[in-house]
Amino acid sequence: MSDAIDQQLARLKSQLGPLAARFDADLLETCTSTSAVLSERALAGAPSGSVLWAIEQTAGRGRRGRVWVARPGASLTFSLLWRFAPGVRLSGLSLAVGLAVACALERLGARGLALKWPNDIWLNGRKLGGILIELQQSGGRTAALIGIGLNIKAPQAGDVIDQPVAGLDESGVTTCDAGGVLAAVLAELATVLDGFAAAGFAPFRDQWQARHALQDEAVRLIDDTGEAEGICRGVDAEGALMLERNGTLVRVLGGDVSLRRPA
Amino acid sequence: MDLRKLKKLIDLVQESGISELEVTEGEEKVRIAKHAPASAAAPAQHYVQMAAPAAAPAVSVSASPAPAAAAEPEGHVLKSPMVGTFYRSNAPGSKSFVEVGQSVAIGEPLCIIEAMKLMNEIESDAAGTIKAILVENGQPVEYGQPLFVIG
Repeated sequence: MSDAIDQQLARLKSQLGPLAARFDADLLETCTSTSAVLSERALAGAPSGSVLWAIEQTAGRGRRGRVWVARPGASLTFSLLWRFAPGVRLSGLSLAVGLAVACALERLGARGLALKWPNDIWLNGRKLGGILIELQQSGGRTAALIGIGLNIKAPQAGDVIDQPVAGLDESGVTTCDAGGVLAAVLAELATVLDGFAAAGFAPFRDQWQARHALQDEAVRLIDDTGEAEGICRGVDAEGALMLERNGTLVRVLGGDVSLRRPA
Repeated sequence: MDLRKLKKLIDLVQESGISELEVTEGEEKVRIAKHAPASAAAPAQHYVQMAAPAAAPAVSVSASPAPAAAAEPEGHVLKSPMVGTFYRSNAPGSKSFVEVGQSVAIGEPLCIIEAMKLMNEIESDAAGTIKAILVENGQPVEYGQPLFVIG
């Protein structure tokens, strides 16, 4: 099996072409959580651009302890370590990463993609992928552990899923090979993360808005303190959600936003 | 009025149906008002009004005359490096990173602050004992808001 792993990694390298030098990829057959393992490697000094890709993830982390399901062959699961220079403002990073993933998949031919604030990737109204970013701070420098999960095939009955999901195989992409998709996503991330480090989220805002799934929709926002309703008016230059409530725009920094279903 | 009492009163108002409470104790007068939007069931604590960059806190406390120095324990104050939601543990129901009275080392994780799915683990920048935890789990925090007192 390690031969197969080496072959996969060699293929990824050739698919990345000149960008291969910016990434240091490792592939595990099975892994508890790519972000948890990469986090340890980051603390031990792993370089920016380190990628940990797992064929199967047994304890994938979602937001606030939620699980992320990844079955072999049915999903692409990886984490990327990216180190930022001191002073880089990271507000909106999760949105920029979501945009990079959507753009990469569109380059592969996907149609019908949309972004749900802050960083879910939707295909025809169903969840195709998710992103979770954890930050490590040390000596004024920040390392971001960017965890990305994409469904190659829609999960099946029996998987623990709490919402409608979609698979990349329904999107019209030219390849559903996990390595090929990973190479495309990493290439786009290199461009977007460079741009983000230089100028933050603002330059990406229009592109993000163009793919905003819930623009001008009546939505419900749920967070740890309760729930609120309003009209979703897009995002500002820092990536905060603009929610219109009783004629006033409020900036939202946290919580889960969903389409409000008529009572 | 000591902080613990004040905190108790705030909790009382927050949990109750009343929107305002005024308490006079000797020379001190404290008014606690809930600023919940009329239609929302819970206080809107995540939002920042466009006009005012600082968050409108859900509960505002005004004391007159100027209260005696707050009864906050002395020590090093760790402040929030960002705007977001304060969490004391990795996941709901799991063990808190630290409790009052616990000793911590520099670099030890104390809490997580989340903003837009960026999970920011905040580490202790001082060694000592946790004297106070100034924010409730799940509450919004502002940039520079004191979170912990380490003595």
